Order: sequence, then structure tokens, then C-alpha cells
Amino acid sequence: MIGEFPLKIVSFLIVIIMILIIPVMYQFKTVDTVSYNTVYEYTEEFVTKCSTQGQVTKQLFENYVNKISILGVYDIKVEHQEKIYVPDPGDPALYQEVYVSTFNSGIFDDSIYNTSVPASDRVYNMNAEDYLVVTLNRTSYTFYEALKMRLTGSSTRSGYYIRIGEMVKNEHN
Amino acid sequence: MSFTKIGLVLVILMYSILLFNSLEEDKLTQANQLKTKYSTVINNTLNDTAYTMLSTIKYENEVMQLNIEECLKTFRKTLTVNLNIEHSDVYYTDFMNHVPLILFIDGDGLYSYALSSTGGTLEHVLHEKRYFTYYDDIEDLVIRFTFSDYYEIYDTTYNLAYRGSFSELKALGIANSVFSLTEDKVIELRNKIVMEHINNELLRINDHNNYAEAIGVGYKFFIPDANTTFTNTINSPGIATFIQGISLGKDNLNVADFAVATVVDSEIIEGYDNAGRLVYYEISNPNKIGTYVESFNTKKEAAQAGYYPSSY
Repeated sequence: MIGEFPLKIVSFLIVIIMILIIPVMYQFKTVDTVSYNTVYEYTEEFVTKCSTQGQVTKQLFENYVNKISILGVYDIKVEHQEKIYVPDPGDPALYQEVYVSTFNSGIFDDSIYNTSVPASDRVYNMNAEDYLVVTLNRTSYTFYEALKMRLTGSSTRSGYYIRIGEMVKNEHN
Repeated sequence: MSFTKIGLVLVILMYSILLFNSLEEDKLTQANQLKTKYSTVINNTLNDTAYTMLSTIKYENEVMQLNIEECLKTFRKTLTVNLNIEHSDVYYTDFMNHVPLILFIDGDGLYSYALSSTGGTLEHVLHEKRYFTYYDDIEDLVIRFTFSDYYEIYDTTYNLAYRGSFSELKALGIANSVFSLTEDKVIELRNKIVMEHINNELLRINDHNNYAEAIGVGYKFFIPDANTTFTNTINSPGIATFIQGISLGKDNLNVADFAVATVVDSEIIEGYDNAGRLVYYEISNPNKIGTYVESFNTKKEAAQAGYYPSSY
């Protein structure tokens, strides 16, 4: 009687894990995979739209953020690489192409959310042949990650990192 | 043995099977995500290169001439921006080792930017242009085809050249083996010649295979057949890129990507707001009314965003 007691506890625990936790974990793992693909698609869509229009607008950005924020918390870095031409120091007859980057603060604080300019001017314009690059890092933990870390005791998380860049194709004039 | 014990044994068995399955699934998921990533990168790269191709295109005798240098610059820029390896030649070279061949199909010939062995090392070299030529052995003439209605005939015995449109050359009455046919048949012949040329250029992948084998690389690039993949797709200039053998985690070789960006003559569509009514115009339309709102690539996109055609 006493000998069988620990065995029963062990089997009870295993049953709990088998019947409850593992199916739930699998379910949330699928959610994670789907969420990655969805965020990837939305990011691509955002970059393509902005580079086709030649500008980042409040509406486009907020649409994008609203769509992905359902799936987690992210660190988004929007980078505009402006293509400029400078003289070639080696040969005065030639020129060099240089890309100058503007990051989040230049795009959002100075243009899109700049309250000191009239609302109609709150857009960020880019030139054709510039590049728009969006880098995205998920900073929040998903349910699956949290559960897996508890169960296995590991401290590494999968997370994800997405980087998409495209050439700006039209200019807004 | 009690039921509990049988149950325990079964549970442990099932759990181990599930565990292995889960490991396999992780690898598959990872491979899938990498595949999505690489196909987006390749798509973006080809789109941007095609854009540069269009904006830098020049016309000589109505035949399109590509600016290969600018195209390659854009190819590299978009690729490295997406993979976050902009400032590293090493990583770029590493990626390019998986790109045995880029074909630039010009208005009257093709360039191949291929991995070729140059004295012991393997480098990307822009090879000489191959023109779409056809040798007429009855009259000893060389006929050069282009994607537009423009042909050149070289008479090698008398050092003469004839240039002009199909109807002009047909009226001259030379090179009858070609110009006595109907125009459709000539275009068919041209497409066949283009395919032959592309197939010949694809054999450059073999150079790379031979070299890779010599240094002990296990992956062999396969040579696609242009006839099955490209038939009826190439009738204007474009780019074809071959990317193979990138490691996706699960297997060591996978992506055998094959993409063509062809030039389609289309105009940018602009959306205008005319006192609350949303109308779209082609960019060249001089009679645009209202205030400019946004641009679209196609009329379909404009309609999706709620714009109506001006004639509607």
C-alpha cells in the first residue's frame, strides 16, 4: 500500500501533463508559427505600400501597427536610406553613391507625429531609388514560450527577427 | 502487471514518439520560415532590379539595351539590405556562391553574369553579349533577331548589312529562308533561337559544378531546361536568376529558385480626389482634375483602394 503511493502520484502527474499541458502547448505552438507568417506578410505589405507611394503616412503606419499588435509586442525600426551623390575623392570626374539613413525619430517625431506642422504636412516623403527598410523584433513572450520555459527550465526563447527592405519606386510630388 | 503500470509504459512510449515528432516539426517549421524569408528576399531583389532595368533602359534603333552595371548594383543593394549584410563583402560573396548564374536578356541578345573559374578561383564574371543570331546556310547570311520589329541581315561574302522592319526586309527579297515566312512564323523561329541561346548559357552552371567538385563541395547545381520553364514567357527583355543550395536547416540543399522579371509596358496610375469623388488617371494623361492623393502600380490596385476610372 505504501509502496504504491508514489507511483500513483507520478502517474497522476504524467496524466496531467499528457492530457492537459501537452495538447495545449502544441496548440499554441501552431499559433506561434501562424503569427510569424502573418507578421511577416503584414511587414512586407507595409514596406511595399510605402515604397510604391514614395511616402510613409500616419494612416499606413498605424494600420500596420494595429494589425500586428494583436499578435504581440514588437520593437519596430523603420529606416529610410536616402541615396545621395557625392564627388569621388579619388577621381574628380566621377561621383559616388552614398546612402544616408534616417531612423524612427527622424521619421516619426520630426514628420508624422510632429504637432508643430499642419496636419496635412505630417507625412514622410522619400525619393525614388531610396530604400525603406523595416526591422522588427518581437519583445513579448508568447504563451507557448512561457510554458516551454517553465517546463524545461531553459532561459532561451525563440523570438523572431524580420527584416525587409525595398527600393522606393515612385516619388510623391 | 496492473493497469496503472501498463498505462505508464504506454504513456512513456507515446511521449517519446511525440518528442521525436516535435523535434522533426521544429526543423520543418524552421525550414519553412527560412524558405519564406529567402523567397521574399529574392522577390524583392528581382522587383527592384527590374525597376532599375526599366528606368535605365536605352533604345538603339528601337532595340532595348539594358544598363547591366546599374542592374547589378541594385541587385546587390536590395539583397544585402534584406539580409542585413550591407557592409560585409564576405557574407555577400558567401551568398553569391549560391547564385551560379544571372541572365540579363537584352533586346537583341543576352548577357550572363556567371560564376566562372578564373585561374583557380571562382568569381562572378560578366560574359560577352551573345546576340540572337541565325545562320542561313543557303544564302550564306547571318540574321540577327530582336524583340522588336527590327532585323539585321549580314552578308558575309560581300560585307553588306541590311537593317529594317520585317516588311521592309521582306520587300528586299533576300534571306528567303526566313523572310518568305509569315511574321508569326518568324517570331516563332526567333523565340526558338532565344531558347537555344539561353540553354547554351545555362551550361555555364556546369563550370561551377566542375570547380565545386574539385574542391570537394557536395552540392551539385542542377541545370534547368529553358524549354520547359521559359516557353512563351520570354518575348521581351528580362532577368533570370538561379539560386540554389542554400541551407535551410533541415536539409543542406533546397532552394532552386527560378524567377523571371519581364518588362511589361505599363503606366503608373495616379489617384486624384475631385471634390470627394476618387478618380484614377494614367500618369501621362494631361487632363487630370482634382488633387493628387496617391500612386498605384496597376488599375486594379487603384480600384481596390476605391478609385474609379475617369470615363466611368
